[in-house]
Amino acid sequence: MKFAEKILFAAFSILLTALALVACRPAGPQIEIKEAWGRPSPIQAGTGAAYMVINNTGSEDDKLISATSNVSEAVETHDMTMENDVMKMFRLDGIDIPAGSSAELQPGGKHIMFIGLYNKLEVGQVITVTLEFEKTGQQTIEVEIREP
Amino acid sequence: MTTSENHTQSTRPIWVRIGITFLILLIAGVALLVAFNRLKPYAFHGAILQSPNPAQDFSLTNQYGQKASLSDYEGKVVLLYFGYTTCPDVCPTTLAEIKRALTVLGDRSDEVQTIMITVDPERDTVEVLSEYLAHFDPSFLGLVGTPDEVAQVATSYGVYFQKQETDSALGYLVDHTATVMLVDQNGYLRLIFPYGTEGSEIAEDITYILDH
Repeated sequence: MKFAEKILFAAFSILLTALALVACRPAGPQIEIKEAWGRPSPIQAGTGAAYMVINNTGSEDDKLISATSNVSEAVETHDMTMENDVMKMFRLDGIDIPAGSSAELQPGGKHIMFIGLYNKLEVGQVITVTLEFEKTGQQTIEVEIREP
Repeated sequence: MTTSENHTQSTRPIWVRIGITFLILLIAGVALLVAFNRLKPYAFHGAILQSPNPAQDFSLTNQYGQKASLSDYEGKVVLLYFGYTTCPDVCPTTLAEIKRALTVLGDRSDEVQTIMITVDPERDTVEVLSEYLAHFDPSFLGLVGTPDEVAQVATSYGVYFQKQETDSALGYLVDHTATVMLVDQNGYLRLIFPYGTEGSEIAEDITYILDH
């Protein structure tokens, strides 16, 4: 191989590798759920709450649109505000998870709410929750019940 | 004699003299600091209320189905909270902090009575309250009345609550003032703890009130 050919070959290889890398970069959202936990609930038919951090490491926005679980009749996303010491809670129609960003669900803020629990939620129990994202689709996670 | 004493003093190395001076200054400084701290008034974690009249008495039904009044607990510090059992976030957080405060107080928690008055008398029956509060602390008292009775008590304590119809499966939610109020041993409303006050801070304030 001539020297010039060698150079050309090397340049071409580099170009190909770069192209491959670009192609492999996750297109669309990349959802990752961490630190999921739920609060114990003392009454059957009562309510419960779960918290977690939802990361989107991808290049496209996503949105948590709904959740289901076999522990309660309904699962909803709620948020609350505190104004002049008055707590106002309200239902959300979903939680946005922008690209390269994360949503933190934590006490005193956004949370997954279980309504009409079939059983009490007790410390140590692990429940399964399926989250439905607009683009990523369904993600099933395990949520440990523990004291805050 | 005099000359020899003077002689001994003057021969004391300079660093010993500097050391002694420094030590004296240090002791004086520490003593001043201690005195200053004693004089400094105690800073409460809760917001201070100074009311000329005792806290409004009330009589509602407890989780055992019996009548209970605020005046039943005179001589104790009363922590008063307005909340509801289907509230999944703020109410359990607050009750857990109160529980923490009682744990910090140890034996002295006997001198404290926690009372939760439900702002959702339609759903929070005596049975529901009983099951709910037992989870947090069997000593917690839950009170319920007719919607009118509850509204009257809440108003007299400056507590706001409002049913909000929502499209949630829960039906309505209740917006409510989420503070914890402290009524002292003599029946006076003394402190208001905002949401998020830590149990250890509540315990410190209770200790001060019990001691003074």
